[in-house]
Amino acid sequence: MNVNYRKTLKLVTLLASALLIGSVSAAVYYSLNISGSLTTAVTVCFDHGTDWPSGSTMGTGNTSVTLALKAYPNTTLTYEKAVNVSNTQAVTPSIRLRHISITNGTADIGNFTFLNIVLLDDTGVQKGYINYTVSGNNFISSESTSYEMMNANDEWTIRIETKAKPDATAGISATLQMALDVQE
Amino acid sequence: MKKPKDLKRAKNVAFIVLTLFILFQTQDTVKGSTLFDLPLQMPANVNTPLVILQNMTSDSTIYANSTSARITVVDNIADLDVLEILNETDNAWQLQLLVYNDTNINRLANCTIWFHNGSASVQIRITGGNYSQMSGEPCNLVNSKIAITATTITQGTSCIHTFLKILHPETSTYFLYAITFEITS
Repeated sequence: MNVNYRKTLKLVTLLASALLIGSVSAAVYYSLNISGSLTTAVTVCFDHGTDWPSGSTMGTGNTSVTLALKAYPNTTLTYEKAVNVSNTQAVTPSIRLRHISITNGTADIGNFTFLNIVLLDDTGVQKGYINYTVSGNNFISSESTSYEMMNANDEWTIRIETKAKPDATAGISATLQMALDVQE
Repeated sequence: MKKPKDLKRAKNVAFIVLTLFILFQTQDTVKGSTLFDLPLQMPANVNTPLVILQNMTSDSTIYANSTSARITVVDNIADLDVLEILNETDNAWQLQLLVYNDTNINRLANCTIWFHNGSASVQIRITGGNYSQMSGEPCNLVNSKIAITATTITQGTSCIHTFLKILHPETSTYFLYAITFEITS
């Protein structure tokens, strides 16, 4: 058999080149993946609204909030600007509200009629909401709003409406856990 | 027969171009983004009402917890106090009536509903079956009562469905109490 050594050598060289290119590409990707810079600067944070409920607390760096809401029998209570959402940078992140859980949600839940959490932009346009309505002794709600883009240095707000049943008993409570998701 | 040198060179160039083309086509563009979430905790408590309604006529109904009412008056009454609004706290509040629905109001020749605590603050006015006023200026809650005057053109029953807006001054926090005014023959 007549072996063409020259052609074989060329083929081997070609394969070696391909391997080299492939591995270099992978190395570059790998390098990109691990060299991303981390920043602790907060782009979006909470701020006190003009209707900040009494007894509420703001977390360190305004990155978490606990709102002490009240509900009254057969009465719609509206906090037009319970808490603001501020974009502190000249970037355009997208944000959404997401339901996480309801605790202490036992048989007492039947005392509530609804809890509505509404996200409004700086012009008052509604950007999404999560309505908690009561069915039997359970709250039902949507899981999250859709992502909405904030303009640089925008300040949005969260409006909250509460209502309890006409014969609701004072002292009944429920705790909602939500998250404000921020995507940059 | 030997292949021409140019042809061989052209094949090599074509091979290299093809290889580069495949390499570039298989590249992915990756866009990174940062995701973080800000916790939002909301304990909600049912409380006793801070402002309550009190009946001033025998035909009216105040519902459970005194936060909603159905006021019933007969046709052709004048300056009748129908409801008292009691402040159960030391807080200052402002009051406003807002119409949100009605039935059969075209039979009302004149109907005026107002707050009074010495002076009058007209909130709703119907003339010749049409609204000339569906809400009024906010006024302070100080010994406040709601009064009504109504004259009718024909027999029947008219209903004006309103919200009593109770506003915490210098904020936009408010309560809405449902109050229905029924004027009947």
